[in-house]
Amino acid sequence: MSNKSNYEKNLRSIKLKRFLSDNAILVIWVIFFAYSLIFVEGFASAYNIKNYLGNCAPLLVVAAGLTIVTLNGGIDFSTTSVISLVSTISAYILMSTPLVDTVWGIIVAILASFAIGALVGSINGLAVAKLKMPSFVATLSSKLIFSGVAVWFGSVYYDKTSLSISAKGFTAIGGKGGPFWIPLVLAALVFLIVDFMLSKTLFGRRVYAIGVNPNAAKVSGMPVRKTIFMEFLISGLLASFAGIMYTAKNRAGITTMGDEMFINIVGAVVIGGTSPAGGFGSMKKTLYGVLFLSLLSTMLNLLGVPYTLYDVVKGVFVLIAAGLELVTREMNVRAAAKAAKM
Amino acid sequence: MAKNTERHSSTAVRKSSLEFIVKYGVYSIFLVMFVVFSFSNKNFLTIRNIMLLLEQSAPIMIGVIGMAFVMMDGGIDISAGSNMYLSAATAALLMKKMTESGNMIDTLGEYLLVVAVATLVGLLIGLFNGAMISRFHIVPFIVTLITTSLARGIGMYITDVKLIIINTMGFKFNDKSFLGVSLLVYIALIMIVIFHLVMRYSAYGCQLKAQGNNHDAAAKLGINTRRNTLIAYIICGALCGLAGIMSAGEGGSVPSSFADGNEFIIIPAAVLGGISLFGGKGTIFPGAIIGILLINTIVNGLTMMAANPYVYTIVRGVIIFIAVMVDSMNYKGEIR
Amino acid sequence: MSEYILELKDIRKGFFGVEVLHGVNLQFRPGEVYGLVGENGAGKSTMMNIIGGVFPADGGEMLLNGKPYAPQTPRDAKNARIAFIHQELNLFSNLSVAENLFIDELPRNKAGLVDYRYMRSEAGKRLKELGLEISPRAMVSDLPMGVRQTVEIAKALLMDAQIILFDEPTTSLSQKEKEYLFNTIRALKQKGVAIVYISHILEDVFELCDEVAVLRDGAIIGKRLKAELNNDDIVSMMVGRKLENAYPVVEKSIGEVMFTARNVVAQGVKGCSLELRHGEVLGIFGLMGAGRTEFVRALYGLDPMVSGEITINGKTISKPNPKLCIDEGMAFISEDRRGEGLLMPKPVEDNLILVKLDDIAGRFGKIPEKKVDELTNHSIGDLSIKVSDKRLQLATNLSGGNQQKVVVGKWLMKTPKMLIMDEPTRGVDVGAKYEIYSLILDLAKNGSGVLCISSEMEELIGICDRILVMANGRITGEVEMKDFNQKRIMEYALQGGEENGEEH
Repeated sequence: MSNKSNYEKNLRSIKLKRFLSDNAILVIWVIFFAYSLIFVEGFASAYNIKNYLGNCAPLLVVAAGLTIVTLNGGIDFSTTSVISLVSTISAYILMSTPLVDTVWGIIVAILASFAIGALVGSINGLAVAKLKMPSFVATLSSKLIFSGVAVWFGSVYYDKTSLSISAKGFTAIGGKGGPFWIPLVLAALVFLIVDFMLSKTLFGRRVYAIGVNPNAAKVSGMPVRKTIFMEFLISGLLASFAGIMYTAKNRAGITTMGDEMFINIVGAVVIGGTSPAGGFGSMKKTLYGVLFLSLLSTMLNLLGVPYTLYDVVKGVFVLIAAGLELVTREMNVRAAAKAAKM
Repeated sequence: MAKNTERHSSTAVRKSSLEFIVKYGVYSIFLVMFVVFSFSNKNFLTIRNIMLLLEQSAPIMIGVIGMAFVMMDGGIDISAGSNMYLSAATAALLMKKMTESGNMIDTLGEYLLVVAVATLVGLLIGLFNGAMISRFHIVPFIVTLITTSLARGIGMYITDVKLIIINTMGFKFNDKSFLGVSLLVYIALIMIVIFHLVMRYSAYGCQLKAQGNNHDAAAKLGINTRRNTLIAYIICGALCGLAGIMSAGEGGSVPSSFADGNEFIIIPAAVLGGISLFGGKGTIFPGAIIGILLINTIVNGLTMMAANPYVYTIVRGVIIFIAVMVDSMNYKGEIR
Repeated sequence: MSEYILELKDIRKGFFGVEVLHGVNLQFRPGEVYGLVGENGAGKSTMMNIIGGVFPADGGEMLLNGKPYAPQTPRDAKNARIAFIHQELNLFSNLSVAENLFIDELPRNKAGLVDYRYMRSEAGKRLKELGLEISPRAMVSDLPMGVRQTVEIAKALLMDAQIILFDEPTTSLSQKEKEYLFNTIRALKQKGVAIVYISHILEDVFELCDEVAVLRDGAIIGKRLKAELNNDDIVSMMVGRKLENAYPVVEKSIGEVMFTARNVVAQGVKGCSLELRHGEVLGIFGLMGAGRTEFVRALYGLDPMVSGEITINGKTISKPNPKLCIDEGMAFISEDRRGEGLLMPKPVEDNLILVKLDDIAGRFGKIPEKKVDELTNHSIGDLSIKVSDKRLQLATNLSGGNQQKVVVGKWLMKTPKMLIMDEPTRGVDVGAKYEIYSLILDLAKNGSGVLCISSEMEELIGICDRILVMANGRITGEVEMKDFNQKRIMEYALQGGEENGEEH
């Protein structure tokens, strides 16, 4: 067998490799970001950076919810419909006659938004945890239903498909009509809370355990169904929060607001390195994914790539990331086996 | 002993009666809807409307046949709608090239060429999906979700997001019929026969069904499960491509929103037809065929009742939910 | 041409760097039945898997009819006409019997489609040869377990195998079905087929085999011809030391009743009751399919309890679930370590702390990392789990024995008042077995009750104070330590065995 110093050296190299594979996307982002600052015309402006961060904020909030669900090997397609429905309903409440431009209007709109998120999240949670439906179809159908409700609501109560909002207090949540950093602080708060929940708490440990092996989790006395329900509930609530931020940012309720967003949300999670099959990943990875994906969107825009190809490029990145995640995990198992042999 | 057997059989009876309700409850809902539609609108139960219903269902029916293969393996293909679009768009661009000299598409050879190109594009998309899933082991709903964006994006790029009108080029299916039945229905019938034989009576179909039931056991027996999975996605892709060009030939044009969301008709149709999302269960005939007819009956009926078109999406969502809920009740695996 | 049909020369195999077969040499002649015995984890199944092409050997070579034979896939083995009948069934419940029989090589007619007519008639013929009255059209999901096993055997007949490997074929068979199987094996022998037969039931091996090889710790310890077979000789070769030293001796006192189960009815369990005392190790013995696993799973609430109730520490529960049971101080070690015991792709530390998490979580459910570190280090030390880096090494990287120690360790962290263990030493190497027994007995010494299930009778006799015997979903006998007697226990276990296979 190898001697002690050799062993330490091997262990160090394994740990270094693991650190790199865990943070690969952050490294790529830093390089990419630095490159953009120096070489891409129009990128290095205060306006542009503000804009970039402003795009990251709500995406991080909704991706946080999806991260939790994905860690369990599930998926939540309905996040986009929650965003659309929240946008539609909150704008309607804000602009309805007795409440327009009042603090009460803002409070009611926000409460209603979270109620929508909780409702959709609960339905998904019940469907998956109680009725044992595969999450992708359960949430696909709730996505159809609730985005349908949003469009139907708009068709009945809006003149057009969008409704402008005037309440300054509300739009400030999205960084409009107030300091630009408000959404950044909100997103940072969400990030810290979810990261804490996943990496430091009992709930987080349960999410990972159930994601790897629900049977072992059950034998170990973990409340499997309750945890899965909570995951979808949290995902719904965070999606409604993001919906509020997007609505405020756009200063309008738009009945199809979430429609084209899903590739960004799932892309942020998967490109960050969270496994779509569950059990592996973290909130930090999703943060990297959000930073990277938003930068990619900005770059595609600045470089004049036709907008029809945006999703194509993003999709390619997602597939590469999903493939790499599997490869690096396989490598980690081998490295650990090697460590075991030493 | 006797007492125990009794208890077992009584639970068996209870179980089967629940299964009966679960299985036929859905059908009876549709029966009720059918009757309601028939009575509330005298145009619903007419030969003309039924023929129209069949003609409209024909392209999607071919997509459902493809989806049945993927689902038999326990997989899913969300990219069906985008696949139809990209295949139809590519074929439409080809027709544009062919007709730029003023020459119409009217010979059988030209028709076959167009259809073959669309099917080939679909096949390549299926090959991509299948390779990603069977070789790289990425979960099917993520791969095909991404393919949805890829195919739609590429289609929009090559067509420059422009509507392509193809019936002015001579390529149309809605005026072609034989014995009062649309050509599309005949094509669908041929596909049903071929792929029903493949699924039910070919070695491939039998092995696919086996591996859908238990992938590990199949691999242990030396069945080439990867190849079978790959082929299932290829079949699904090719048939979606065919469905795309048929649908375009029926509608007469390919807009950038062409076939958008068709996967939400195809998947629930397959599930309603008794093809389990969990793999290894179901038939093409009559299962998948009944499924699509049921769904189109509802949509057709709702149109006749002049419901708010935005309600369709909601109804579709509810249909998927109920269909999958019933499917899941029969499944005894782990939650995912 | 050599006289042997198959020769194994210095076959070696390792998993994750741990060698489990250390150069096995064996020869098989046509028309003879070879018994292969050894403890769990001795390497029998690994050897069979290598011959059957499930995975290749790391070293050594095999000669089939004098020619090199190195199967890479099960198909290679099949092409060489070597059939492997696995312990767990590889049948597809959604297909018919005929389809299952032919699934890996479906016969085709002129049109290229599956020739169902040929398939059914051929399947019917082979099933008749086995003395089975099953329709080839029957769906496997409608067949009882015992019958499913014979369908597997029919598959081997179908390919005209020259070598058939049987891995514990009788576990779910009734006496009648077993006789059929033995007659079939003798008939095959007459035809010149070489048969390798793995079983725990020595009587069967003695009855059937022409030669018996004993495998221990990945090496052949000895071979005996039929004439020189002797039970004690074989057993002592299997365990490698005198039986009394295989189990630790711990002085302990048995106290009051701490747990009772009354009239528990569940899937495969037809009204079972038991009492467990403080400090007692109670064994449950039964043949495969007797309902012992189902019984304890129902007690712990893993599978639904149809009727009946349990009382633990004076608290009566009629609908147990794992959470409730854990709160009352119960712990459960499943027989399926990979499926229900461990998070295989997760580090050792995460696995060890899994059930303790609830207790150490602070405000907002915060997990104190330092506490986790301390507790797991403690556990690794106490149980001498061989792991070099608990955060880097994954459960899947550990040997069977160490994996089981992790599972035991995670429950010991909670100092359970009652421990249920299903096959505690399955797939565990001999050295680790002793350590695991010590852990169980120490726990009992400190006043906990232990319920231990095993299909290895010696193991139960070695560590239990009392043994309950189950057969066909019922408790058929109870034996106190002073009356321990293998024959008697086996007789209880065989009661109602006739009904086996007709149920499920």
